[in-house]
Amino acid sequence: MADKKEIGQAFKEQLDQVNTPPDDAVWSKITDALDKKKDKKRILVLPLWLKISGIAAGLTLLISLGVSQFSNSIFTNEKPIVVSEDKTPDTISDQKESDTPFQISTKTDTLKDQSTEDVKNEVIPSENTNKNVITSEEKQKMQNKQWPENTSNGILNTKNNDLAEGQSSIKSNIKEPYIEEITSKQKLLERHQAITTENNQKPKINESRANKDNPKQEKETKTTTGIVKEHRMPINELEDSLIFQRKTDAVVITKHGNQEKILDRFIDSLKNDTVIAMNKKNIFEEIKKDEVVLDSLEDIKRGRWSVATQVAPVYYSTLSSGSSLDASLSNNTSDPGINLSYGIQLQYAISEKLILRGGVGRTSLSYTTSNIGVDVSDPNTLAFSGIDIDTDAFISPITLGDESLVSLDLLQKITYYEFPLELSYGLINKKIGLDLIGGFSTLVLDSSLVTAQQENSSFKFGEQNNLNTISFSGNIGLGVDYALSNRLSFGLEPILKIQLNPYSNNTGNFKPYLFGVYTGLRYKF
Amino acid sequence: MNITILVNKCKEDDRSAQGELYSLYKIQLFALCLKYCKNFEEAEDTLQESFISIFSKIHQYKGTGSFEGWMTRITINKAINKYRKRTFEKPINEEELEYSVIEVEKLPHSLDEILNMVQELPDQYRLVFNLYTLDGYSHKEIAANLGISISTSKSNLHRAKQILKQKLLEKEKLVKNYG
Repeated sequence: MADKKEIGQAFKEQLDQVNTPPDDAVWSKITDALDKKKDKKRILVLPLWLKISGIAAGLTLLISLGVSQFSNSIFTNEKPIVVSEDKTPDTISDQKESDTPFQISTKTDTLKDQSTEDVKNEVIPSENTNKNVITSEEKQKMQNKQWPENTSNGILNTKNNDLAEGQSSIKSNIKEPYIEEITSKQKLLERHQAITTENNQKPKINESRANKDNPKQEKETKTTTGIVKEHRMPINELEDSLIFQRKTDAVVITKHGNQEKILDRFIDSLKNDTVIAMNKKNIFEEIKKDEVVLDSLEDIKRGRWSVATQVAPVYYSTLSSGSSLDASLSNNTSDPGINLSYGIQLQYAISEKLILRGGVGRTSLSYTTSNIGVDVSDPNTLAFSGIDIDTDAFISPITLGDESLVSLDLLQKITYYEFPLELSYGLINKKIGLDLIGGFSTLVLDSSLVTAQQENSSFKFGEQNNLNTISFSGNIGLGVDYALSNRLSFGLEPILKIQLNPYSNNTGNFKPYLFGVYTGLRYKF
Repeated sequence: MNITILVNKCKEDDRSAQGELYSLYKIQLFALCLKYCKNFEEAEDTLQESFISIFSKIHQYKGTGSFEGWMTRITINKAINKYRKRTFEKPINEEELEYSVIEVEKLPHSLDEILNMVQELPDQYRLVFNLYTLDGYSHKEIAANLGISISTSKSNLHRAKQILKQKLLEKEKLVKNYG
């Protein structure tokens, strides 16, 4: 008769004989892990410093970038010239008279406006100081070095303040090193009074619209394009003299200014202010410098730098099913959380389509794992590999009663300081723009609290212990940009950020990602 | 070397003492891991984690109870943590079912085959079977450790035995058919 045994007993007798040794590699792994634990103890203090220095470094970088850009700009102490376009041919009296003395446009302006053929009346001196006329060649040179179109009628009548501001800086650039001060204001006054008004003045001004049908206005228009034109000093005097440019405060020029009033103001200003003079021989060199400055102006006009604020609801979840707290929680129901994150970004347009953006922000994340069974009488059931339990905080609030088995929900609250660095590629560049965004973020861990929730109460459970202090995320997303004005735009950017190395020890197969819809205002400067 | 002396040296982080302790107990604890885990690799992982815990927490061993028992407990807990589902199950006061005894004749199979049959059990059944049958835990203790009810523990055990019996029968058929 066969000897029958209870199956469990039969298996036990057999399995008690198992004596397979593990591989030798296991011991090496154990010693490595023990060594790491020793090192970890030593550098425990560092993470705090790392956090602080990481944040400080990021902020310093951003601030220094911004400051260096401002200090390198072409703006000087000169106040900008503000030009307005009057609809009515009104006098300067309608403008801000009290604090905006009349502005003489620069000689360079005048030069560029010139297209006259009546060279006899040209008062602009040429390089050939013996000539009383400007040769057609020289004229061509001057015409070729035109201002941007909107100044072609001789006035900075652009509404774009950038250009106007650039103009003032050009003037200030022009003043060195070829500036000589007039020794005597009196000389200037005398000269000025010797000026006769129009006789044989009929220079053509190409793009002057006021000119065409109204000869009377022609004068006025001419006047506002430049005093030099109007005041026809004998050429030889001018050859030896200097071109005058008034060192200005902000002024307003009207398109259809009154000639006499302009002259009066000019005289007043001469009496009251110093005048910076320029050497006529260096005019063309200055024009070249102007071109360089013009390019910078264009940069400003383009607005390479901008700053943006960002606020976003951020959704935090995992790509795989798993738990970052413990492997045993992989099958528990879980609820991803949505929290608010905010930050600020500095953006630099590398080209028309490509923008480099860096920023600093604070990102808050949360995640809930539900229906966790624990036995409060058995501390083993409270062991979660990813949590350092604060036993003092945890044990007492639990209602024991007769039942030691209880159900808990664990809520993780994680905050990071985030330093994104991204590239934005403009797919559509219109009033509503569309960008493709890609890059990465450096995440510096700030806090990682775990709260236990039981029915109506919640209390501190412990802290998550397996999150890396510094981790990274790969970011990809789209950006929709709506231009509110020339400088201000509103952005809406849904961005997916996949965390690359969030855990020092991930036994739970949790692959976290963040999805945020970042909104904010962007200001171009 | 005396175990107590060895333990004390390990408390001082003496690497050679730790190595000696590992050599003394690795077979015994690895056997435990092989029965609780799904396969050889996971058993090695569990053994590694267990010894790391043992050496890290050795200062917590105060000499009460056997050191071997202390190490065994840590190893079993590591294995349990790997596989248990910590979903809360409210204890149900149901009538305890009587389960029939399952008997087998002497097992002709090799040790490896027997071990494989146990490793192939569903996780929770395997844990319950090991804890009750191989390591002598009560259903109450099993329920507390796994976060399940006592009745679940009992039904899981019975189910595990049924599956093992089935596997044995299938093996016997194969042997009969192919010699």
